[in-house]
Amino acid sequence: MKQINHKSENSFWLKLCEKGIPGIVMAVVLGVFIQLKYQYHFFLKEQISFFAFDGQHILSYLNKPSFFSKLVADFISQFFYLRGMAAIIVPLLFLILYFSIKKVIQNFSDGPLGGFYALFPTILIIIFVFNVNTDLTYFISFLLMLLLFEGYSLLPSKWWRSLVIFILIPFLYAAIGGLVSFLGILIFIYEIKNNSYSSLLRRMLTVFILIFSLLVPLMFRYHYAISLSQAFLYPVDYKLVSLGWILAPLFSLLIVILLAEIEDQQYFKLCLCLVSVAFIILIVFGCYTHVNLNLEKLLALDSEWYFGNIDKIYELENKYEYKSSAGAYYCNLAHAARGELADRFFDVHQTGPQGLVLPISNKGSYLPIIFANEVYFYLGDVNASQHLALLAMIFSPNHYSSRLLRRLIQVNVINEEYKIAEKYLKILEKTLFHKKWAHNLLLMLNDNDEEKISCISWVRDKRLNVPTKEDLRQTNDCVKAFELLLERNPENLDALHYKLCYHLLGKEVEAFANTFFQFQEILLRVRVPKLYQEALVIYYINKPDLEIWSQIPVKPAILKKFIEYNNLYVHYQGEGRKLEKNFKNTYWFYYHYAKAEKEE
Amino acid sequence: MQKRKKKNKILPVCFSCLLLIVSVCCSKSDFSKAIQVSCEPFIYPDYTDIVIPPNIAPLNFMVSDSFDRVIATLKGTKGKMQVKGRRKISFKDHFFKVFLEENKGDTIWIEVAARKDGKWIKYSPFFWFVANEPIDPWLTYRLIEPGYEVWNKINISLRNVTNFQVKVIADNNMADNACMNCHTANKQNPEMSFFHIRHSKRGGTIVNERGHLRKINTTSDKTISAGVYGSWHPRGRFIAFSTNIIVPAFYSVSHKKMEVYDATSDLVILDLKRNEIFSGEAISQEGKFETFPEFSADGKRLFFCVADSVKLPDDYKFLKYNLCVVDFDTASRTFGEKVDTIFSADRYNKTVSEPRVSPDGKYILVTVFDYGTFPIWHSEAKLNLIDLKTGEINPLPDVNNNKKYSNSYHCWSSNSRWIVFASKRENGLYGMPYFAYIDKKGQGHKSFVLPQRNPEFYGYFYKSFNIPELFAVQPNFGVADIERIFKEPAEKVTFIEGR
Repeated sequence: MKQINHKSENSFWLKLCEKGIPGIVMAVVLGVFIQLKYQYHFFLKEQISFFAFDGQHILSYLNKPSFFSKLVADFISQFFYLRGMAAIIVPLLFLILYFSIKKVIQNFSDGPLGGFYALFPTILIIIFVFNVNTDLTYFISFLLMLLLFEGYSLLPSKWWRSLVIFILIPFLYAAIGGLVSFLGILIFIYEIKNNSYSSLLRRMLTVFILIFSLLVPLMFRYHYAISLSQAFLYPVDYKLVSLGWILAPLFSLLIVILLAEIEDQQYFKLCLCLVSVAFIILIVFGCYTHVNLNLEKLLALDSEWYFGNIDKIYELENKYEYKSSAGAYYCNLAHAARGELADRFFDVHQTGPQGLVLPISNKGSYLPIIFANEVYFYLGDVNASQHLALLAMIFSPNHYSSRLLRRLIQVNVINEEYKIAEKYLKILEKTLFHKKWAHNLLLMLNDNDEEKISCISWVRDKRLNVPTKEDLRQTNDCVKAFELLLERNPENLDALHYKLCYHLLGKEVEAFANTFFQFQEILLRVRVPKLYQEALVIYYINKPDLEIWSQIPVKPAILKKFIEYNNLYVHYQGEGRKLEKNFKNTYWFYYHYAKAEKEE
Repeated sequence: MQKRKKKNKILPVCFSCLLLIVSVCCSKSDFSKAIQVSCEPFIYPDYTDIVIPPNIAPLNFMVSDSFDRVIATLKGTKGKMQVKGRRKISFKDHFFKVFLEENKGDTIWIEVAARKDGKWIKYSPFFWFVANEPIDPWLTYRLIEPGYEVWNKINISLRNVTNFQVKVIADNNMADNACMNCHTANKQNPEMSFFHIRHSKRGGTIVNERGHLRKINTTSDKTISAGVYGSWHPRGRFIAFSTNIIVPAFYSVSHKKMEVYDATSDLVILDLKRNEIFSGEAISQEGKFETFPEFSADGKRLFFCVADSVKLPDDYKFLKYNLCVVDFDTASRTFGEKVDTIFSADRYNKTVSEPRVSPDGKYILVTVFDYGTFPIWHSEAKLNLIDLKTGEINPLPDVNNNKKYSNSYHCWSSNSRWIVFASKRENGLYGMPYFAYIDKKGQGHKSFVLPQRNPEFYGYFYKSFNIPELFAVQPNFGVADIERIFKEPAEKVTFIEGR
């Protein structure tokens, strides 16, 4: 066997690897990437997680395995609330994991390339964190598993070391979840490698550790009421992330341990090349699968709306082209907030009525359900907002959310359901970053200071618009919602414009026209938006004899342009491309050529 | 020598300090300057002036957070006990049990003193009357988010009401996130129960017959839907089911949340022996909505709610159900021709739902509210007790001692003395299980919430207790059984034309 003398090789690269420089560089790159390109994903992670300094809340973590990982993950996630914290926390976690993996590899081989090998499992785990469907729990479980292994290796190499871990395995399963089985595998490999088979007892204990670590999930799964696959995969939900990606970091760790073992073999360099290429391909594919920059742009809209930064939404709209319903939804909301919903109608890529009111379904991503309550709250149908907020809590990955809790509190304060608002406020008061808001509100409620409560802007404004008619409607029946809002307050211009635009996006010109006529007094107080005029022209052409036209002025220029459009439409035999240049931003073009997405 | 001297000095000092600490902790509280107030203490949960079963778990309670010390002294005819705490009174399980047992049939007086800003306040005592009759020791309930029309995580939990033990007996996590509902016991045969698993491919009604589980697909071409609300025949061969098209709808107003109505409904009877379902003219009439079947205690009659159909959803406020009864012959599986009305919607201008007959056959407990068929979201929904002999309706004012929010989904204990029901009285959104004693004269006594070890529990619990059901015997199935039966194919039923 050819012996490689590591000490004689003073390769700069090897020195860097020994010191963990690749990991540090990677961490810096990660931090910069998150800060510049990916922070909104982490804002969302904070919004759909929840950590409260409350005994009962903390005890509830014990209901499922990996309670400690989940607790730590939720604790850390709350700091994503602060701008810039994700860019600090995630690289820090990356570094901790990287050096932990490096240390684990060193337990098997003290070669200088440990710092290089450690990159691969670390990156594969970090990629996981970038997925919108995951939180930090798996990451923390993985890290804790490595630290436990390290702790095990530091214990004196006596027979009782194995006995200690054997006894602890059930508790570790409760603490870190299914990764305890992988811990058993690591320990087994470690003991084989260290030739700890001198005594029969040691050999038996090592095998028992492996078997027991694989059996414990099965033994406890009925206690936790989890399925067979969940027993081994907890804390990851394999329905949200594919099994391959869950196992990839584990296998990569085993592979790099094996690589470290064969460093002194002849075929090592070939193996290293092949494995490195494979990992790089895997990482690139992983980035493609989990790192969604398009979604990041959408989450930017969502978060900035949540923060109340309308200017920022305008900025994002100008910077990026949003082609999805959710993108249109937020852009339309921002325009409505500025009173420009109709005027800026074609500044947005309209996808149909769902660009105004997102339909919800329990199939597919949970994100639309989280987004959907915003428009109802904005318009004043707070009950609908509450319903959707509760649904979002149910269908979000963690089933609780600081953001949605705030929304539920707002709705219940508006509805004067102070008891339920207090219930939510008490738990929110025990969080780090929402406690001030919760505390101030709770003081007002405890003082029964109705005057003060009514003066809160979002209470005062919404109470004016909450419907009073006891008509029933279905979840996705937003037209009925608009009607009820307008019945309560005809001056609710937001609801009015939403209704008008909703009909237009659905190409329901007659319904649009009837609504317009019904509220003409209010609409004619100011300049009628060009969009509405164009739609009215269509109705006028079909029903020119209606008396109402004497009261509703259609600008001659609009009429002229419509005639021009009509003539060209006939001339080009409906070929849209030829009309696009001059008429792209007209309702007529939308009416003819836009394909309104059907509700599912 | 000097070191030894030092040691000798330190030890007495430490001992004195220890003695001082112990004496401070154990010293009797000085009540000589206590302020006596003429009102009862405000405790949470409200366990003041109630009738309690002798086998109930400790009724731990707490006082407001403006107090820093509280003492509760329980005085019965046979003995006394005192418990202290910072703000919470937590009884030791064993001592509490023994104390109640010793004072069965008697009144216990509880004196509460609490300290605020260094001053003791002594309140007027309140009482617990310990009934002779125990309550069924097992309570099942569904834990769900109050999310109205959809679900994600649901489980059916089993709580021992004599202590604080809880375990999950069915979890939809192990049944592909299917909906689970309506776990219903056979009061005369407590080892029998059923509940539904709603799943497009593997759903069915899980029937528990003394630990043996069966999954039955109760749908057929001739029925509207699978069985929904159900009731056991006392002998266990039949289950009466409603079949409904349930439509959830929502309000936009601030004081109401949702309405659930049946677009249509009928009743059927499932014969477990023959795997057949059948109906009858009396229970599935054209132009009528029949629902909420309930067999009488002797099994010879079937109670049910029925309303004239109306245009829905426009006329939903005119949808009011009567409570009716018809004879049922088990041998021939036929219904009588005459349908009697027990509660007339027209007469009272109310609607009625969820009839539950007391196991001794004397009473029927219903939920009465303004309109519709789904009381849980009606804040005016209250329990009413109907004497089946006299027809007298008792509005149970002490049971319904909440001014606002619904009381519904009630269930009897097997000895007909206790009821459990779901009440949203605390905040209008989250349901909690309440118990109440119904004495032999049919009078209801003040209700109280299921005790928890930590009295603050309900303040920080974010799921609703739904469909509470009392069991005299522990349901003998668990999550593993449900997981297994979920994977098995369901037994099919044949629809037999009714007579």
